[in-house]
Amino acid sequence: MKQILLFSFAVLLMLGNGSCNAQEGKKAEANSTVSAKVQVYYFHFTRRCATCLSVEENAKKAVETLYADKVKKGEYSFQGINLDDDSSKPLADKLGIGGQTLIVVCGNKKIDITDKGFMNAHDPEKMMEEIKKAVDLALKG
Amino acid sequence: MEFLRDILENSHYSFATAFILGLMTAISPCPLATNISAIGFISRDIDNRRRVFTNGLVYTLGRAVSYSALALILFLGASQMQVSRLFQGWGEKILAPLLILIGLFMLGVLKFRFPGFSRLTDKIDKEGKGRYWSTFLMGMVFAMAFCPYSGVLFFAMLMPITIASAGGLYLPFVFALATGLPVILFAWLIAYAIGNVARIYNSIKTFEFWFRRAMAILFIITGIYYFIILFLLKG
Repeated sequence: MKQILLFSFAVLLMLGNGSCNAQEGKKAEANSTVSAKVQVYYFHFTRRCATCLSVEENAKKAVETLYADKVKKGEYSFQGINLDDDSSKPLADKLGIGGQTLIVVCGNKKIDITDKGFMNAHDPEKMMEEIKKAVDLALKG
Repeated sequence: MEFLRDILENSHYSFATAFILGLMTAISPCPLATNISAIGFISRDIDNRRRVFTNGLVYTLGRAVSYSALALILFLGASQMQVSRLFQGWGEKILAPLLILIGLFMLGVLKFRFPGFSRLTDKIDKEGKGRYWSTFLMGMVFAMAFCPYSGVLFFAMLMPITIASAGGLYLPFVFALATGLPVILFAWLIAYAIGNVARIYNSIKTFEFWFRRAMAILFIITGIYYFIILFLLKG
C-alpha cells in the first residue's frame, strides 16, 4: 500500500513538472484548461545598433500579434530590459544573461533565440515564426 | 548584408559559418569607425605596399589571438555570462579614450617616458619589429572592443559552435581572418592608389607625412565620435 502511494505521488510530481509552470499546471488541472505564463525578454545595453532596435520592435510585435488574447490577460508578455540598469541585475543573473539576448522563458524553461532573432531582425514574418517555434517548444515541457 | 545572411542560413559547414560571421562583423555599420581607423593605421606606410599588406596580416593575427584566447577561456569553463557581460558591456567604452590616446601619440603630442616603456614607444614610430608589435596590439585591442551587433555575432553565434567541442577551437581564427580581410584589402588599395598619385608628383615623403597626420586626426575624431555616442547620447 505504501509503495502504491509513493508511486502515485511520484507520478503526480512528474505530471506537475511536465507543464512549464508547476503552479499553473495545478490550476490547469482544476479548470481543465492549460494556461502557462510565457515571458519573452530582450536584454540589451543602453547603446544599440539599428539591427538591435529592429529585434526589439519586431519581437514585441510578434508576441502581441501571435498571442493578443494572452497578452491582454497578462499570461504572455514581452519586456525589453536594459542591462546597464542595476535593477536588471537580479533577473539577468537568474537567467544567466551575459549580453544582448532574446529569450523565451516559461517556468524553468529557457529558449535562447538570440541568433535567430538577429538573423531575422528586419523580417517581421520570420521573426513571428521563430517566436512561435520557441514558445511552442517552451510549452512542450 | 542580406546576401551574407542568406548564405549563413544555408551554410552547413562551421568554417563557412565562421567566415561569413567574420565578414558580417567587418562590414556591419557598428564597428565601421574602428575598421576605418585600422585601415588608416595599417596603410600608414604608403610608400611600401608590401609592408601595408604584412601590417594587415599582423593586425589580423592580433585579432585572431584575442578571439582564440576568449574562446579558449570559455572552452576551459569560464562563465560565458561573466565574460560576455564584461566584454559586451565594457569593450566599446574603452574605445573612446584609447582612440584619442593613439591619435595623440601618432601626432607626437603625447610621449610616454615610463621606464621600460619608452623603448617600446620609440620603436612604434621607427622602422623594424616595433612597428609590427603596435599593429599586432591594435588588432588584439580592437577585436575585444565589441559593439552591440558584433558582440551578438561573436558571443551568440560563433561561440556556441566553437566551444561545443575541441575541434571547433580553430573557428575564431577563421572568423578573425574574415574580419581582417576587408581591412587588409582597403588598406592595400589606399596605399596603392595614394602611392601612385604621390609617385606621379614625385612627392611620396610629403604625402606620407601628411597622410600620417590625417590618420592621427581620424583617430581623434573617431574617439570623440565614440565618446559622444556612448557617454553623451544616452538612450
